[in-house]
Amino acid sequence: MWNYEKRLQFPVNITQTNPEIAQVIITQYGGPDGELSASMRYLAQRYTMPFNTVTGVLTDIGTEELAHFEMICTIVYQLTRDLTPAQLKESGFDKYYVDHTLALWPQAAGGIPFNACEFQSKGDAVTDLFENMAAEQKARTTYDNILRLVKDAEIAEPIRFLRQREIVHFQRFGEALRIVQENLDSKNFYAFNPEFD
Amino acid sequence: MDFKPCNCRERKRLLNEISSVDFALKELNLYLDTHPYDQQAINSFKKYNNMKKRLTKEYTAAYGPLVLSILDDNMQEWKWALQDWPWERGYN
Repeated sequence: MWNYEKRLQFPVNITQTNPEIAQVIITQYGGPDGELSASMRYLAQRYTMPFNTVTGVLTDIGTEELAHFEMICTIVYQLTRDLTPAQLKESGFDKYYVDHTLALWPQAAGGIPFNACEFQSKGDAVTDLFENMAAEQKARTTYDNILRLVKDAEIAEPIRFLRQREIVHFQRFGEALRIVQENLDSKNFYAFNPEFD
Repeated sequence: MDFKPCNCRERKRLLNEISSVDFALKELNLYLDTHPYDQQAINSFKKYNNMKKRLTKEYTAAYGPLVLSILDDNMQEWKWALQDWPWERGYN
């Protein structure tokens, strides 16, 4: 179960409407390496994870990712306040607007809808933790790519915060992988699957 | 009654302080998951946890609730739902 705290993990207060950049940043909500898929991936992997400390990492990082997609949604929401029909057309945001008006809907920057295939819950501790480490690096790359396009400090500051969290999570998943490997056959990590055999 | 959270510098300063303390808690939480016997980190977690509770009580009494587990004793109306939500411009 979860409890809600009525605040963002890191402040977002964007005063200038900018639908062009909103279309790029929305990818960290519903794109392939976005916060939504990160959260659902870790929370889905928890149930069959046989090591309690590793389950703790999955639960707590999965929970933090919920706060991250709230931040991303806030950025997109604030970037699309007070849009005029002329701005909608000019920015290319009209294609999103026609289906969702200005509501939040999880899609990649290219318009591809959120896809549950990105959860990647494989049921093998080694496989899933390598997946998670790669996922954190892919998200970090995406934030690097976003930061090349964003110059406004009001947008860049929360994006930099989220980028840093990817690095911390990568570190923790690395430690979680070490814990799993310490509990496996040291001569052959693949002798058995601790989530099945 | 105005249900916009007050735009005063003091409210944002306090909210920011709570978020900073909570950030330390989140970092310690993740660290402790993989280092569950680190007594120094456990002590730090307890210290920041108490600090967060104290600051949240202070914020709640002055500006409204942040969590449903800590409410103002003199609450007359359900400010949790009446006040703005955190994604509005100016909340943070």
